[in-house]
Amino acid sequence: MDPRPLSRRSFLGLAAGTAASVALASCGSSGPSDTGGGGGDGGAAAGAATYWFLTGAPGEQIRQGSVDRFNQANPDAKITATTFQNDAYKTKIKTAIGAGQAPTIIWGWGGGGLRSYVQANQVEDLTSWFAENAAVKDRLFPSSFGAATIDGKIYAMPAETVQPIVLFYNKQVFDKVGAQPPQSWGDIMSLVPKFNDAGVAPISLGGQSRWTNMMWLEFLFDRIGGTEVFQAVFDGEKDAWSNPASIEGLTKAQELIKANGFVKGFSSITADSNADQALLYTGKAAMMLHGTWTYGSMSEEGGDFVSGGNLGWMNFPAVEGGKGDPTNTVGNPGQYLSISSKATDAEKETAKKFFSTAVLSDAEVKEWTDAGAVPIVKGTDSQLGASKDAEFLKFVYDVSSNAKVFAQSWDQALSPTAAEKLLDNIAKLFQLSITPQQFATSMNQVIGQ
Amino acid sequence: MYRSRRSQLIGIAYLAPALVFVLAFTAYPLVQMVWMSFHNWSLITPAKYVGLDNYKRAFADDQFWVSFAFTLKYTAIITPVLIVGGYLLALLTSESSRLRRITRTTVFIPVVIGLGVSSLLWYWLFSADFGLVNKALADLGLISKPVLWLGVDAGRSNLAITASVVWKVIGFGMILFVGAIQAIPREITEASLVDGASYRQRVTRVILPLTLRTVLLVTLVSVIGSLLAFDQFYIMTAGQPQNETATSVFYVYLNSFPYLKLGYGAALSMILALTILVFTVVQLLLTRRSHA
Repeated sequence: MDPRPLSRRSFLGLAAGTAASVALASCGSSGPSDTGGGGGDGGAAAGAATYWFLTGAPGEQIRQGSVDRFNQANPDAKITATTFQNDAYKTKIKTAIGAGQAPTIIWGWGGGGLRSYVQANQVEDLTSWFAENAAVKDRLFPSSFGAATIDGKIYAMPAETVQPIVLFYNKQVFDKVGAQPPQSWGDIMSLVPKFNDAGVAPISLGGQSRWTNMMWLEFLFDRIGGTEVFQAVFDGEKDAWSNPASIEGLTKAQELIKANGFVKGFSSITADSNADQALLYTGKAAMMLHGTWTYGSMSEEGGDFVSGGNLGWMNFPAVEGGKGDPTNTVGNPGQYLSISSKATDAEKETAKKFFSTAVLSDAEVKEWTDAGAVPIVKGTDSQLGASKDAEFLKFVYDVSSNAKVFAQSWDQALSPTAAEKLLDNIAKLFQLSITPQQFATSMNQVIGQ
Repeated sequence: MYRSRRSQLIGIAYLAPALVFVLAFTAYPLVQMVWMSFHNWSLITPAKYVGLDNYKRAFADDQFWVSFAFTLKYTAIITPVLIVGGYLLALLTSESSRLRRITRTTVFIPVVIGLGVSSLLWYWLFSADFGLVNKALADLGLISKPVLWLGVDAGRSNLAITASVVWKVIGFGMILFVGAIQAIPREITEASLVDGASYRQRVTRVILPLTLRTVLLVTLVSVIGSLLAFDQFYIMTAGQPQNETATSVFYVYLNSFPYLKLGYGAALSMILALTILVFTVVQLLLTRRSHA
């Protein structure tokens, strides 16, 4: 379950993708297929490795650039790259791993997907390698390792960029109503009637996509009970959803819904169409909790909304009396590179050399920051000043690097089955058709699955 | 003997490309799907044989029945609209004149648009805050506040999506009906005119009986299409509210891809395929009878 790239998919891609899904769903997909262009070891040196990753600008060019630089520096142990479109990749990589034909380097999202590879003994344990190569580990955001760590062991090299979820607001709407950005959960609740009286929806939400609702729960849980509340679910503790902090978070979300905090009919709005962002930049809604990836589309589609300085942003505020650290954040703490346990020793060595010398090298870091993204490397904030979006990028850098814990989105952290059950229950919770207790009971049943 | 074997071989050689294509892209996947439906398979771990468990689970799965019932309901609503509407349009435009040709083309244009594209288009038209549908209804004084078309109420979502699909595919049936009506021999039409038949009598006694086969064909195609509906629901409601608008194929998709239960998804596909087979056989039997 990875809804993020979907939200940026063009409608043509969506049409093609759904057509392919129909074809697959109605005819049944074929069994394990060959690795396509992945096998680059024919006739090459013993240490030659393979690497599969995603297409799409700007990431594809940047990833390829790192591979090219590595190959130039290591003519004896080249890496052959094969690229895939997002949705095709998800099926392809699982098929290849299941058939024992995985590439040496496996690109992924960490969390629940990585856990399933670990359970099938398909990826290398990198814990001792990181201990020996402390320099590689120490230059990255410590928070990026959370989603790479399964049961205390590191199974992936964090890579690429951060995408935290932040609270956006429309400064013009706040000025019109004479309101100040909220400093606490209480502020949000008292802003709700103010905006409703002024005929503006307090909060935009693309509720039909469900993971959008989930972001509110992620922050409420964290601010009320700290990161250990969801960690207990992730670790498979029995009845973890019945934690009092969890019940309080679910209750507060329903209080906000009952107070008409979210735009009327939010469950008819999809995030894939960017309709939730449109509500914010057209001034029909005052606030929106969303990933930093929406900044780009609001800049493009919102006219002079962003360039005119009307978009405000902040980290999610504290909840009164909550135990959680308000510097914590949630979202995509990075992307993840694992090494196939089926690779030969020479291939594994090449992959490790690639991790320590090429991944997030100075040249790659510069390419990411030039593309308007914040890489997971400490100290890049000085390079962000040149961008036209310097102020926002600096904020993203600060939120991500100061976060004591950068939690992974729940649907990514859990197994696909548990994630789907979670999204179903979240939809029901937000439609007020189940109580917080019913939510907890239902979700407790899939803990550890 | 020799010659006939030789000509047989030549025949097979000519057939080979098509045969290979069908074997590779229809027969093999179908066999593979049957195999998958007897296994539990998440791609990563090897498939595990579970016998008929997936099928037993399907029959006890509430969501499967909700989806199935919803798909039948959708099919039952949209099919008559497409057939009757398409036929009426065909009667109006079957004789060629400039205006009729323009009308025919206009109605047919949406057919060539991708379903994904048209669904996204209608998603925005039905948007509560930005949509032209609500704007038009409000300006006409039919509604006083915006209607939440999609994803909130299953019945209303179904209505909205049905409207968008009718716009999209009604031209397909119309074109086939126009072709069938134009193929009616002139002598028959002239004979009925000489006998003093009124227009209504000509439609019900001459045109309709002589185009019945096409009507049944279009019904068959449209029923199968509706039973396999996916794109429009995936894009416009994503199954919301609470998977009440999740069609059968959508549920197959959910199981096969997001949940990665490939075996279960395959079993659901098999059940769906058999259901469609039953509909097809019934309709084909009807077609044969009408022909005899």
